[in-house]
Amino acid sequence: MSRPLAIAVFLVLAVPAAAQQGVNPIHPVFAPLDAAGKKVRTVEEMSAEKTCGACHDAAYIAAHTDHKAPRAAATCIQCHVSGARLDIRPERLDAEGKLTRESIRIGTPRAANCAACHGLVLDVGAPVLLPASFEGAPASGRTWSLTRGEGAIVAPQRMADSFLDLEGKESLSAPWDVHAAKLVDCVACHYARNSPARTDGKQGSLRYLTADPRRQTQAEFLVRPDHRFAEQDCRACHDPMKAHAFLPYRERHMEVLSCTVCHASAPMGPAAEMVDATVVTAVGGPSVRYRNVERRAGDTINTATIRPLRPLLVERVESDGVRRVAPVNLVSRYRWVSRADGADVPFETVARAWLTGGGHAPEVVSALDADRDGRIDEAELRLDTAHKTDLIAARLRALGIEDPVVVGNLDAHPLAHGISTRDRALKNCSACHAEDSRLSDDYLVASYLPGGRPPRPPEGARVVLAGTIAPSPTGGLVLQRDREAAPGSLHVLGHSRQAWTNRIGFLAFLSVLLGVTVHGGLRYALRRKRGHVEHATGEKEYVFGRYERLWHWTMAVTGIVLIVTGLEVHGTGKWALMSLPTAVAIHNAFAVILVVNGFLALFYHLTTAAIRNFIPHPRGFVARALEHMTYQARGIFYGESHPRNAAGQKLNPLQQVTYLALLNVLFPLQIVTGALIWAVGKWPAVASAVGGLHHVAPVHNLGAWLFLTFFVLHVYLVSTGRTPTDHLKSMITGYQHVEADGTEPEGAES
Amino acid sequence: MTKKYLLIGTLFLAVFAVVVGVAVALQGEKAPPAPAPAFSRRLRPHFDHAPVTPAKFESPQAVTRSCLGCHPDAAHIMRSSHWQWLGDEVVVPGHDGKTRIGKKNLLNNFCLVNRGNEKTCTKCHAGYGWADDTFDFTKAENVDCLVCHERSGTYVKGMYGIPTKETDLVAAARSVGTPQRENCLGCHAYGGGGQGVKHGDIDSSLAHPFDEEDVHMGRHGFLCVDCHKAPDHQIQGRAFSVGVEDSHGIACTDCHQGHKHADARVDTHVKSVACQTCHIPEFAGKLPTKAWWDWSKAGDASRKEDPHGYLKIKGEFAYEQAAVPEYRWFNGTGGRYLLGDRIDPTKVTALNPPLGGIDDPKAKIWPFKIHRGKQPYDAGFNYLFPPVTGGKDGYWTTFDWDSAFRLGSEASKIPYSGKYGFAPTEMYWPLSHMVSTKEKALACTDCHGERSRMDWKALGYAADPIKTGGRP
Repeated sequence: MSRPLAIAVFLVLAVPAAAQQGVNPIHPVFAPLDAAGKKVRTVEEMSAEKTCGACHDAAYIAAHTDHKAPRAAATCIQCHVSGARLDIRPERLDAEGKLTRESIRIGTPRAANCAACHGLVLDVGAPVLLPASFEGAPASGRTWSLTRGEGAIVAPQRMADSFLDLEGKESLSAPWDVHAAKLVDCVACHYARNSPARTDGKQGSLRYLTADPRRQTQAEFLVRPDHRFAEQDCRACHDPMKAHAFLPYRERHMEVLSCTVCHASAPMGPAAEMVDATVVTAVGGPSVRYRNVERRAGDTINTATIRPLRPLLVERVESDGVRRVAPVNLVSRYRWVSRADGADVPFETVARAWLTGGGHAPEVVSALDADRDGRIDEAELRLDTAHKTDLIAARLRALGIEDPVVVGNLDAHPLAHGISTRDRALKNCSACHAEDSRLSDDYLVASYLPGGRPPRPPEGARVVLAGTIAPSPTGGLVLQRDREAAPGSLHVLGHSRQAWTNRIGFLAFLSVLLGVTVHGGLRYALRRKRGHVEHATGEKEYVFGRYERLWHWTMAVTGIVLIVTGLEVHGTGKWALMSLPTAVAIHNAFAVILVVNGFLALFYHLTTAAIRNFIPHPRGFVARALEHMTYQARGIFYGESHPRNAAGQKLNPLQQVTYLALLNVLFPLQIVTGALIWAVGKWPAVASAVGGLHHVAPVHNLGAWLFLTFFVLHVYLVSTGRTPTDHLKSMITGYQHVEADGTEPEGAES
Repeated sequence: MTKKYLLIGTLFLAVFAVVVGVAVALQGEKAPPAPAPAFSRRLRPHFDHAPVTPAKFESPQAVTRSCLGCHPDAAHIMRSSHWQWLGDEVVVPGHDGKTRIGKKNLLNNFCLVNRGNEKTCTKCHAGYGWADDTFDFTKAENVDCLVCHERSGTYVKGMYGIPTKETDLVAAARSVGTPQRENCLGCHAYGGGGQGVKHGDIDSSLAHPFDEEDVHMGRHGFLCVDCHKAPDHQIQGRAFSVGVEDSHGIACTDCHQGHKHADARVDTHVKSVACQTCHIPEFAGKLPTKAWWDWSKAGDASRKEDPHGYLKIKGEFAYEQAAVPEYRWFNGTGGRYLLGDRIDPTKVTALNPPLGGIDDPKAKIWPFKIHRGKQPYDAGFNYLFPPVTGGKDGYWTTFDWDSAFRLGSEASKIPYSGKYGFAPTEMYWPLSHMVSTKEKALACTDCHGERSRMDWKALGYAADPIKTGGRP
């Protein structure tokens, strides 16, 4: 008992009143009026519409506002007056019934005004903690949408200095909200759209319009301010291309991602999964289940452990009209509705149906108390059977509610507030570029269904909830998403799988690996029957010129590096060889080396006629090819000499076919697809002309597998020379053993 | 032949290594700067003095003679203010000609004055036996080497700076080495008669501070002498309480050269805001420091004694802890109250007002601990007075201000009118120690916005400069 008491005392002491708004020296002094236009001397009689409407066009404002019924009915006073309350006392009024200058604490809405409804917005000086009303009976209009919806706490304070029990708190030296910390308040982004002091943000606006004489004057604006507030997104002030130098594919990331994907990746405020106002807790509030709060029985939310919220990544239409992947939190909200008039049952009425005196009504307890301990625990406080629902419905009917039913809505709250510093931004590539990434997280929609009703998804929402809403094991609902897809049907390297190309490629690689293992194993097993002495003489011949060896090894090294870095990109997070940006950078750099080397080699071969080695001699080609196949299938095991190549050719027919395919098909394919994947970052239009990454990436992936397959085969065949290391030596020194029977030496499978 | 291929192969690999290296360097994040080297290497003396220390010393002066035998240059300490308690000749603003000022001849609003009170004041003099004006400042053997260099931790200076009888001089002499934090703190943390009385930013917690109490000494293991270097025993640093100019001063920028903050907006502050202002968000974090000293309340035997609240001999005190500094413009120079300057006893006299203002381009906003109090003055001549408190006939024995004034008049050669009173004064202590970690540094909202710790109007701004703009 002493702990809650101590906490209560603490709460009272620890939350000082928000700093008062200063006296407005410009706003004229005025007389408060009642609805009939008569001067009043108490705040209860006053009509804000009449009083403020004496100068401001109340009708215009009422017609141009987002803050109107039924969603919200904010008055002038709530938003524009310090403490949301005009101080009208006789001693504050002068002889003419006008408020004295000291009482004119009126001005632009401050964070505290907005916070009164929207969430936890705190001033400097007060250590962050959640007020008792956060869990208690909902005050009229107070939605806590910022905090419960987004997990945002708007405060300039460093998280480490707050009173909340945050996971890893000691290292959270960043402020709760970097904008609050830098004195950027709510109205900085949510300003009246027709304010002459504001253009439409820094970016994208026409500079000369800042002094456009056709704009309203300040006086006109003050009479008719448009209360449909701007919703500036990050890009209104920040140019993402001026930062993020570390990021590969910067343009691409900025094009498809909302800033908040990384910058609101782990809010530390308590974010709700479900607000169940069909039930009433013992303290008189709705039952709220949080996604990132771990509390033991009896914990207040201030003593419970809060972990970073892992938001759901979905496709969303941002305020600039562009579809981007953005983080949201899903909150299912349940309430009682009277079917007769479609109106919500006031929560006070619901509370009366549940509570008598100081706690739950005995009939309610007996119906819900599953473990018979005489009270309703958190897990029991739910209307998950028809019996329980009917009981409360009956009690509501007894209170005069006609035909009460449970209605649930599924709200998607985009994470846009409580952005911390860049140090808290998501920098881990594998958060998305990995098989098991947050792009395809399943997301609990509701852990149980009050009244057995699924929540109604948002209508006309800017959020696309891809996936299927399926029953969860606990009796609720879960949003199941395709493991390999990404929101906005993006192709995400390292995450999106190219099912069939990947499989075919891998199979090819595997079968060749298996093939050479068996072949090599047989050769090893049969090595005694093989008399290779007779065809490996001590004589050597110079077969590979200096340049041939240089370009071969250049190709070999670049190829290996490309395969290794490519695999790293392909399976981000599985091989922790290097970071993804490093892998991408190296891959791109070596791709350039490979292409340059390839062209130089082509030039060499064309100008020296060495290209002839690669062109199959038509006459007897089939026969020679068969001969070679037979040799590899049989002769090699018995130590026979290599079959002859066509006259004057270093390469055998099988090699020629292989290289023709490699150089004319695989190389160009990889180069073109690779360039296109690279171009996605710089010139997305080019890549999207051929179907974007969806088509290009699988082809590149297949090509990569075929390269790897070739690599395995190639390395194996190197060992099939006169001695196992003969070919390898020849590619280093240039000299190769001469076949015993005087045939032309066969070139290495180079 | 093989060698040639090896060479070519090596070259080849080298070229690739360079390519990979460049690719990684272009993309990879910059490595964090290497941490400052640990200064703990000097925790052990570079030379063990034990074998060269005599078996017995007749007197403390014998120790000094022994030191000088090998370190004759160490006598240069006698040119320093640690020995002379006087600085170089300077022009004190508002006064004619050049004067040498220092602890020797200045008043403060703590224990008031050295002259006449040498018995206890000179406990912290780096010398032996300074009892009155007859002390010979030219006699090298009177220098106290041990107070700064001994590491036994057992060395205790008594009255007139002479080691107490019990002090083991041999043990102290055997242990000498580079001055440790404790050597400096022994005097500088206890100035004014107790722990943390004078400086708000120096107290004995600096011997072993946590990172956030003092990042240099805590995290990086600095010794005092790492910043307060002492070439030829001329110890660098400037105490603003006894000096008026910033020669031999130490600045953050001596080490932190060309530093850029992560946010360019912070850098725009640098021309008007001292580093200390943001990086010393509070002072006296662990141990309280004296903020108020009212001598006029002294002598009341009926009041309960409490070293942090009231002492009959000293009067009334107030201490503050984890205190928010006060901010003033400061260009590194100050004025100074000199003995004999007239005061207006109805107004607060600043003994060392920092100079500079919003119009002074060299001035920056600095954090200060301001020690306020009421101290004795001559009500006839209207100047602050240096009474004798210690000693046989001092105020602390007789509790008679009149006789203390008469003794002070003799000791300091200043006329006494026969009327005394108590005038309000203040002393400014710019803060430079107890620099916290960057995570604890002030952020925008500490100074800007509705809950500001700055009194912008008092600093000369029209309003919060985030709205009205900074000075040009």
